[in-house]
Amino acid sequence: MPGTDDVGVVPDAAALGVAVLAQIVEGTADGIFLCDAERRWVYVNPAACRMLDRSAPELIGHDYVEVVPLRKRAAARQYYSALLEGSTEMLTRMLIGVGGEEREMVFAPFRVDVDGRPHGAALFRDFTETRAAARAAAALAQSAAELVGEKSTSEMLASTARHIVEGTCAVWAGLAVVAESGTFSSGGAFGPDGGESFLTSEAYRAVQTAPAERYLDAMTGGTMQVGQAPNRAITLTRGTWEQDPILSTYGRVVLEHDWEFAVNIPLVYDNRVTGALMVLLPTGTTALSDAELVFSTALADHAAVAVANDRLSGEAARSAELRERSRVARELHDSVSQALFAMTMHARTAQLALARAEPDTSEPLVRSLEQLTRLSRGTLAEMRALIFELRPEALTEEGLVRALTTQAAAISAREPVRISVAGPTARLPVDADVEAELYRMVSELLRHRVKHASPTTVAVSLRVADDELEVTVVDDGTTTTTIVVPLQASSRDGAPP
Amino acid sequence: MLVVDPDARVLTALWAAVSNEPDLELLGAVPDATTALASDAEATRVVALVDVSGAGGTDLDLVHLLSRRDGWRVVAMSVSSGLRAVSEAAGATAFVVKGEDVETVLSAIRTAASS
Repeated sequence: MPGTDDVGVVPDAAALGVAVLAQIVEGTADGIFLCDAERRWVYVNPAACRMLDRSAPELIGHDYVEVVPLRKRAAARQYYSALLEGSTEMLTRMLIGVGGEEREMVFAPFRVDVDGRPHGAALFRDFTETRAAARAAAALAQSAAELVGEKSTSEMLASTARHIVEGTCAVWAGLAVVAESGTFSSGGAFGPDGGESFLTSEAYRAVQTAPAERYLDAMTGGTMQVGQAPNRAITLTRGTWEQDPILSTYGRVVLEHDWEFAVNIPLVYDNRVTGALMVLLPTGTTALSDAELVFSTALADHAAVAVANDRLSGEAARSAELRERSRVARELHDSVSQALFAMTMHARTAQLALARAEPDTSEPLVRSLEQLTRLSRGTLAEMRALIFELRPEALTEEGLVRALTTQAAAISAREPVRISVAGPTARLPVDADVEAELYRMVSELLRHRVKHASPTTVAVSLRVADDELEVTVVDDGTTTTTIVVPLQASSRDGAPP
Repeated sequence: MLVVDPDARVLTALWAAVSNEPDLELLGAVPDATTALASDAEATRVVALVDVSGAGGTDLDLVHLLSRRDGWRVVAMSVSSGLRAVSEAAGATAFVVKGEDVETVLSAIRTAASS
């Protein structure tokens, strides 16, 4: 046994002796194995057995591709042939643990000759957790960045699906969000053929027409309801999907993939279910690992936030658009009102000038000017009533009595009816909302009576009595309609209740 | 009488209307405050008809400045009646809405002239 006394002599492994070498090989935390030319396990060290989750007797004599996922076996066979020819390329290989879950192993392979026959050997380590954590972190960061990106909702959901497929064992992932209308408003998926959004894919358009509540209900065995607090993720079998009429009809695209089990995770925003994420597991796999489930749930939450953001900014944009339209309408109103004011003045000036200059002038000209004056005054009255539709604050500024007087003038300008409005000059003791509602009601009542009863006169009166406001509308002294509004104590006295 | 209004249509119409009134003499019809402040008159009583609809409150400053001149009175006018209170607080003797009868506007001017 060489020792440190022998200066200049470097011992080789053989000199250590079988016993020492065996201790090293059996004791290392790295997996070490040896396979023959037909890929059959010849030797596996204890660490390899732990990582492969099988005992040595269960492995020895079997083809090593049996622990490789089905879809990777062709590549594994090719790789082994290259190894036997001397390739030492390090690589990452997925192997299947006994529970069906896939583990990510990194191999440092090399060829060994045993009794003159080529064998394949390798040192390997399980990098599943390390790699998964790194990938998860990267994917979550990217997903978070995408939340403020410019993609459409469906594109964002397809991107989330891609992160999930790339970061877990899933063969396909799909997300869908439910709209208020009860159908899926947007969705995205990623699978072996790449990513698809509901908007661009024919196949997924069918899902878009599905009754969402019923669909989610069937998908999750009744545990997922839109708008309710979320439940845990739930696993579904292919059989259930095939047998449910709603799922097999609208979700037939899902059946085109190769899967036995699927995991359904709710998309949650503000502690309410807004949609679902479905992850299809490869045949032979029955569940996501805990880490994969946590990762997928985090991405599902990102997606839910992205969708909520999208909806909120859509509402903000629509609100901004409405305000802009309102502003344009008000400007137009003001400009037209100015023009009408000028027109009434010109018409009156012309009338006076005509009367002064040529008192015996022809009837047609006088009549025309009279018409012009009347028309422009009438139009101006109508414009004045319009302001209450364009500017809600105007009603508060003018008060109900003056506003109704304006409305009466506008109707009288169009129709052959005289409408009088009588009421207190002081501000009425009602809230702004009540005043607006009363204005709307009385205006509508006036228009209705004028249109259907064609009265020649209408009298509107407002009266405050005890703790009530009474609005009475009488046409031609015959038909009476009364609206009674109770007054709040606070409005009446001005003091808080 | 001085008329101040940024809308050329209103200015022209008011000019024509006032020209027709024998008891009112039009000093000028101007579009903005700067031009308005530059004008002056020898008359004992000047009524300024000022449009206060514009944004920024500069018109109210004009109302305030003109109302402090000796012998001057200001009648404020606007498309809506929301500015009545602030106009009167700024020194306007009266407030007219541009939708009201022309007679009402002229009557307000006459009342201000004799006050």
